[in-house]
Amino acid sequence: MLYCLPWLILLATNPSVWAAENLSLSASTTISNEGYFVLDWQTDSPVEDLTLEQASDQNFSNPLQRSLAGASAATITGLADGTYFFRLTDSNSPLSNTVNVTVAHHSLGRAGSFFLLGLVLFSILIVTILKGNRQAGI
Amino acid sequence: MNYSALSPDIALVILVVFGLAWIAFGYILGKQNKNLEDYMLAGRNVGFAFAAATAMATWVTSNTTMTAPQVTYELGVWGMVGYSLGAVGLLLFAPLAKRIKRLLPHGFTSGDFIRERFGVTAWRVFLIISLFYAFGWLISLGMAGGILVNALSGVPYHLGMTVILVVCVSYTLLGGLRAVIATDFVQTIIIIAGVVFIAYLVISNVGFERMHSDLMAERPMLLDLLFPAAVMFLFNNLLFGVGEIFHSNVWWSRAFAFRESTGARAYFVAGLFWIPIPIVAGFIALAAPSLGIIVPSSDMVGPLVAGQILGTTGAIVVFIIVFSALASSLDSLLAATADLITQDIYRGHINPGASDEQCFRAGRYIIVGLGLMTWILCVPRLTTLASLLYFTGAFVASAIWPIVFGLYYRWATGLAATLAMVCGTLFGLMAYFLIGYYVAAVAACAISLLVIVLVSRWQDKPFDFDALAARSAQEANTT
Repeated sequence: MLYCLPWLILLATNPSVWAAENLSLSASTTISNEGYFVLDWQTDSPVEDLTLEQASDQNFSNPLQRSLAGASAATITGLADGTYFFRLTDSNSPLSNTVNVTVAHHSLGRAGSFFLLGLVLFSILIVTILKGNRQAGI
Repeated sequence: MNYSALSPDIALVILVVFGLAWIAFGYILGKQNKNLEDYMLAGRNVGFAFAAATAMATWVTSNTTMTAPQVTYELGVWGMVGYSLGAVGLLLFAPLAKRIKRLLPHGFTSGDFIRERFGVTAWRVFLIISLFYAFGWLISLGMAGGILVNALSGVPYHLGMTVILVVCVSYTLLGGLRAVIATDFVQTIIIIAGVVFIAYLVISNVGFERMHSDLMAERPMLLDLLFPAAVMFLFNNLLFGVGEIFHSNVWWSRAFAFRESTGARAYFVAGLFWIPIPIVAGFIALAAPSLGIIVPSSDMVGPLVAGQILGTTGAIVVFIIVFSALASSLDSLLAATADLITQDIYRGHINPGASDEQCFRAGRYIIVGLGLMTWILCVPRLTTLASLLYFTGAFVASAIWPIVFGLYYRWATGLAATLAMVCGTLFGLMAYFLIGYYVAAVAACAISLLVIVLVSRWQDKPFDFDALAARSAQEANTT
């Protein structure tokens, strides 16, 4: 029983440990084809110095940090291909679960096909209107 | 970090002052309306300056001031450029406006043309598409109003959305298209002056170098010219814009309202003036990472960045600009959709023998009903602005070819137009759900083209344009 005492004291005195139980981080998707998605989190009470950490490995070595200050969601955009890990922290310790999102952009072949299709349709539209105007005498 | 750039009190004062000014304007101008043509089409005698201003102001909307930053924030530089391609719709509608006025000098709505040109079935399918789009746009405008007020001042979303809807419904109800066009003229001056002011403040406050290095470190794809989703978005947005303008009664009612000599020029000039506006509006979203702004929902990025970098004065300017942009589109859409419902649903289906006086009265009830319906659908705030707007892309892009071929070419048939709209919409929706919102319009447009050409060639029933003009004149005489 005495063995558990330091942990019980820590739980009772450190609010961030209590907060960790209250912060649940989730992502709008696990795979994104556009490099954007929404992260949101629920908390019963506001946490000071709440920070969103982003890293490309599970151990969060060299993380990118964003100060959240009262926000309860964040839209992440513009990420390149890869798997990204996110968690919420206060000044130095994790407060939430870790979520990961894999970004796998559409292939350039697919993108190029739609681009070309759009270009062809637009060209046909221009020719159709110009020809129609000429025939109608406008 | 996020904060509200304006106090709720200032935001509400701006809303009330400008709202009362628009309503008073609508009341004064409404006194000049003597009959249904005055109310619906401003007497069919709108000159060049007012015509160009209303076309531009209507196209500068929540979509431009709120969704352009959103697509830039999501799709980067190509998102911004792609958004400005929306101007192509206005530029290409210029020659169509002249043709429309010549074919149907006494027409009231886009539905009139589809009914006369393609028959009743195509007309009904077109009405479904048109009304679906109109509601999508109305909801996006109402939502944008609430989001704007909330992001800049912290005033609850529902309160801001309600006030903006009430203001726009009131002055549209009082003044009809004449009030809409006159307020659009004033709103255009505010929008252009405000955008120039914001561009100056953004450039002097945030350096390009800092933005570039932060984006490269945190959001590299936003600067990547081979960003696949953004590459797909380019022509999708262009065709979406073309579909919106070609089919919507907002633009047709103006084509009928403008003098024949001014319509084409007005649409062309409006398109040219519109091009830089989404570039400026979208550009500011790229400053979000440098400023450490957390964006809860990407459709809030424009007002959040503007509020932070421009301070209280800038936030007031942004607030007035976006409020003007919203109002200029909301009123136009309310008026044009009410016209469509009055003419094509009420007079076309419910009460075919309705007099002008009855239509005049019905039109007013319809404007109030549309406002109420929009409010109800805005309350739950179901999705983001871009997702909502581009969902309608599948519908409107399927109507491009029926409109264009229908206006100029004898070989396009009613069955072909109907099938083109149905198949195009279904295929566009499949693309929306299976790939993404950035391909729905391209897919719908492609299938629609294929269907209308194949089925028309197979049917081989040439249309008589002379009979169309004669019928239009005859209907004008009987009403």
